[in-house]
Amino acid sequence: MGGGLVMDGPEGRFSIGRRLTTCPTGLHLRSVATEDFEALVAAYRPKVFRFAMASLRDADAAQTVTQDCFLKAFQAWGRFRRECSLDTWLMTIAVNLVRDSVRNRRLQFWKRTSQEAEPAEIVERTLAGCGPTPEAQIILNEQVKAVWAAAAVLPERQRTVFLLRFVEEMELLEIAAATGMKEGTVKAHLFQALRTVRQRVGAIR
Amino acid sequence: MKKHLNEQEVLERVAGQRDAASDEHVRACPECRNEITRLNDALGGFRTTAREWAETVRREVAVRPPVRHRGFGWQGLRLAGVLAVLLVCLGVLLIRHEGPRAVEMSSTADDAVLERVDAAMSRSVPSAMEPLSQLVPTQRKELALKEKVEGAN
Ligand SMILES: [Zn+2]
Repeated sequence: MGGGLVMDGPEGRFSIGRRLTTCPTGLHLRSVATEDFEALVAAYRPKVFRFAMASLRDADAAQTVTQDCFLKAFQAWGRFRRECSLDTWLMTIAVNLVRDSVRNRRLQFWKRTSQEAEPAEIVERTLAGCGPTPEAQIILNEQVKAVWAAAAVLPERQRTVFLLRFVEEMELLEIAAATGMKEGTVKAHLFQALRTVRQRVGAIR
Repeated sequence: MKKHLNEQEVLERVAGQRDAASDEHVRACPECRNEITRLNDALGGFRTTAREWAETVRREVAVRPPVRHRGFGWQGLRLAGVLAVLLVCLGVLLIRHEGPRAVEMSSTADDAVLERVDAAMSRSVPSAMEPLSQLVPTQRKELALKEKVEGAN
């Protein structure tokens, strides 16, 4: 490989760097430590995609956000000051892209309404055998579906904070760094989201 | 024993913020313990299924044919069609008011819409490359600007 960012797309593997280094402006890409970047993509792509997918519930939009996230990261690689962890830095980019995507989709009146594979199916398949009894299993499935339903109706910022905390298991300070919110604001959004979740889960006994 | 944990205290524990007083209460109170376990189990199940779901979708996306999500798409084409019809109707109205000169204007507007539709249809860049290909116009703009500046100097 002649250097560059290698990503797996729907059409197979491709290289960003190889394409861009042929561009007239060059974008200073030759100075990028591409091996490091390839490792970064391999390590973090599932996480970025997962956050985008859980936020947008649209595979194409999530794929675009993931690609754009690494593209932006690649372009900004030289400016990464390591003041926060790589993880937080990437999630900051992803959070902004998801936010833009949500806003753009809101403006499009032909916005896709169809959702990708129904999470309910995944709940039953993935959690099979987790309950100690068949009854407990049914209740657990319903409670997890209730969390999914709650997450779907949360306002954008509450959902972002909720997903970063409970899917990505990020600490409150990391979430604050990734979202640009104060820690107190993160907490307020998180507790509001949890109240909604608790109400929905509480309705199932 | 202290009265049951209030909602905020329950949520704080679920969010990972614990203190000695609530630890002690939860140890001694099956009711609060059950409530916290129930929420933790539901949230843990959500995490597990969200991860599994994203991984499943990611694998599906990797094997299915590319979707042009950033172009016009069929909905966009439909919109373009509606716009074209509206423009034709507008053109007809203008012909009645202004005669032959308006025909030219309306056909120019139609051509513009059709050009956009053609452009959307003939996009040959695979969707995975689209975010990258979008850099090119910016770079062209940068080049054009550079040439302009150099020309001015
Ligand atoms: Zn209690």
